Amino acid sequence: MDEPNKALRLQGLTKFYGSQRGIEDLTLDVRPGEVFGFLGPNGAGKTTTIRMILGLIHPTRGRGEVLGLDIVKDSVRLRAQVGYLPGDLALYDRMQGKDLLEFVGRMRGGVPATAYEQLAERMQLDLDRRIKDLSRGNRQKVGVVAAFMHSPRLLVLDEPTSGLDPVVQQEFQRLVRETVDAGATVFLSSHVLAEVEEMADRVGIVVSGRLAVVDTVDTLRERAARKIELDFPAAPPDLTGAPGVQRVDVRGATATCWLTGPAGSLLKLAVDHGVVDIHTHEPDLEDAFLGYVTGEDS
Amino acid sequence: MSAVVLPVPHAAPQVLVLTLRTLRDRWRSTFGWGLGLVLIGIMQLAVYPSVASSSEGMQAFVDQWPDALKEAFGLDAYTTGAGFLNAEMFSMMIPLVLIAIATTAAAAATAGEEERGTADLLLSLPVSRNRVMAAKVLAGGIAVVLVAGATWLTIAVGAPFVDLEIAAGDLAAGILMTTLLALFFGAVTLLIGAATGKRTVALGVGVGLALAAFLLNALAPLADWLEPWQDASPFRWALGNEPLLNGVDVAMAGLLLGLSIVLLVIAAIAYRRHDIGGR
Ligand SMILES: Nc1ncnc2c1ncn2[C@@H]1O[C@H](COP(=O)(O)OP(=O)(O)OP(=O)(O)O)[C@@H](O)[C@H]1O
Ligand SMILES: [Mg+2]
Repeated sequence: MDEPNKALRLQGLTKFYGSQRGIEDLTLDVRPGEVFGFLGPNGAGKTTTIRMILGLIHPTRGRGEVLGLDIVKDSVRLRAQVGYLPGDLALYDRMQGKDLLEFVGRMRGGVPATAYEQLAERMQLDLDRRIKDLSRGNRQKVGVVAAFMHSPRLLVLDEPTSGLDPVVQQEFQRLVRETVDAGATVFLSSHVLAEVEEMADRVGIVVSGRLAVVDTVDTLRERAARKIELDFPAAPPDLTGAPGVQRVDVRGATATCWLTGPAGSLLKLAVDHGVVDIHTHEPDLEDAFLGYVTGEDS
Repeated sequence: MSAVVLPVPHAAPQVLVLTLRTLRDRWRSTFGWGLGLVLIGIMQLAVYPSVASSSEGMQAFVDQWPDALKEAFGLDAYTTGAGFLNAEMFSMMIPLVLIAIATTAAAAATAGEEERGTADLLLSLPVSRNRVMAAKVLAGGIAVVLVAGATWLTIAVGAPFVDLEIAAGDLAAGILMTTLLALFFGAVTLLIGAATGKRTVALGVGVGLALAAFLLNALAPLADWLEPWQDASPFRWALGNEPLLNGVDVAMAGLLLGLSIVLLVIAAIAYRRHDIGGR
């Protein structure tokens, strides 16, 4: 097989459920060795896209390739190269963790037990318990192990950290980094920028079935609107005129400003009006998106 | 970029692994149905001597019934070995239990996995839907054949103890025809499940059609307006020629098998086109 220069390539990929839009006209490239964060609010079309890549549902229009393999025509060969973690993970409940992973390994043509045992140990997962007796987070770990254990070339992970506690999330992030260092590519979905920004090289944001933004995490953060809360002794002054301020919400004596670019002018104005306290927040997804859309024409 | 291209596994081991996994999943329910059928068989064999010894009175009593009624209840020759087995086991109990096993297995096969949400995991593995279908058909077929075989064995071994006379070949013919009947309704159920992804719809259609076919075959002799339709019932195809007396009706066996294969092919095509439902 030719070594393709794209790990994932989607061109005009579209899925309608009847008249309900799942995702429309999605064009996107993911480079080999990259961690790509696929972000969007509930119902944006992330799971729809991912399930088309795996061949679980069929595109209404458009096409896609994984490592040069067509998502419709070469689906089986494609899936041999991919590790998938479903968003709504459901496992064979009556099996023990190790039996399930052994089954998955055999269906993949044989994966040594050491591969999943080591991963399970890393994730502190007890493989001797029946899956239905595991907590939600521990079940999620079984899904993570199943996705990684055969050293796939592309990992497609639908909200991988849902249900995982912070410690395990850290371990998961290390696992992703090591996997990428070993040459794989990772495509993962999430609701929140903060969750993927440490891992991802680039992110794409989908809203209501359409891709709104693709950019590097750094650029996105730079352009993201930061949220700054300013407490005043009395009713806040009008801050909307300050350079870089996108939006202001006033509640009592507190003004919440969304700001892109330098904060100097806004802070000077605030100080002039006797600001009492200042709180800043990491930009979340909506903030990032807001900064982007409005930043476009500035 | 890791240059290791991961190969697609070979068909035979993959299908085998999934078949065994499915059989294990369905083991308990299959065992339950099978045990029930075997116990009923033993009970029926146990009462046969008393039926046979009162044969004159019993047959005289039955002989007074209208022919249509006798045919409807399979009572034409109640006190002979074949007539007794036909009335008590083969006209209803064995086919319905085998159909229950086949249709529940078929409904669970694709639609059941989909409703439980496990289809996402299974179909994300490098296995084609055709292979998944093949494994599910194998597993369901094996479950039906195992229970049918246990029933055959029970009757074949038990009959001599109670002086029930039945030719070994004819008994096997009865089992074969009811097994084919069950596989036919299993194929119907599988097709509906593969096309809709809905387990209860598949089971409802499969079991509903089987019951309708059973009633049509049983009641047709009683109602003039139904009679012309009796030949449309797969129960008639399987049992109309009285396999316990006359052996396998090759044409009808071929019809059931052929239609089942056609249904399975359509099911495989429908499954390939089907969008797997999210949970
Ligand atoms: N099987 C289906 N039938 C009809 N509509 C569907 C189906 N699956 C998804 N949709 C619709 O498609 C849109 C995209 O859904 P999708 O599940 O892809 O979103 P998502 O980005 O994964 O959301 P979440 O963050 O909540 O998981 C939604 O409007 C959803 O209601
Ligand atoms: Mg989703």
